[in-house]
Amino acid sequence: MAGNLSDFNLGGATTVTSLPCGFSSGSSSLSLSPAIDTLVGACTANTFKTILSISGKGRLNALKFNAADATARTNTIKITIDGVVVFNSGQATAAANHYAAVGACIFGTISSVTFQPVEFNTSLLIEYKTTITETDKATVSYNYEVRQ
Amino acid sequence: MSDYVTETIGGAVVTYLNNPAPPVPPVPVIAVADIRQALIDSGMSAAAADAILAAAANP
Repeated sequence: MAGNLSDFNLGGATTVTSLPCGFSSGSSSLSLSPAIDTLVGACTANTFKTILSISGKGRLNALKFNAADATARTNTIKITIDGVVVFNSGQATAAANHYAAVGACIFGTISSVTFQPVEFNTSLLIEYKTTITETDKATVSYNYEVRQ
Repeated sequence: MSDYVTETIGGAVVTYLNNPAPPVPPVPVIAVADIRQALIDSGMSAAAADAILAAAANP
């Protein structure tokens, strides 16, 4: 019988095609460390802005954002893996709360995001948009690793 | 695109928005018992310290 080893499901990593669970519950503080914490800069309303783009192979381990203030807005995070949009979700905020898109949250006196490793084989793209034209009104924090 | 930096990291080409957020200091955790003792040490009665802590817990 002819076949490929990949025909056998041996438990290896497969490509993520969707992260359907949406954002975590909001928290006034949600620790993710180590992480790269990036202010979103100048944003045009309802226009996606690239936060991180990787050509290569690796893992996105965790991703969260926090709104900077109590202004009512909807923040959207879009994650594209290997050319497939796997997460594209909007979160309304009216307080300076944190929300995780990738990662499991442990809520307590000090709330934390733990890793939820999401593999990418050729590319990773993380984008952000808000419903208001504004500058630095959110921070996107992420942890990733690259592989050969 | 001047806000962006492109680097080769571990064999991958990484382009990122270069706008680092200022570090957030860790939130200190102080036990209620320590606060109560500090109030008592400052001369407050135990009953008054308990009343303040109760009010703080239920503003």
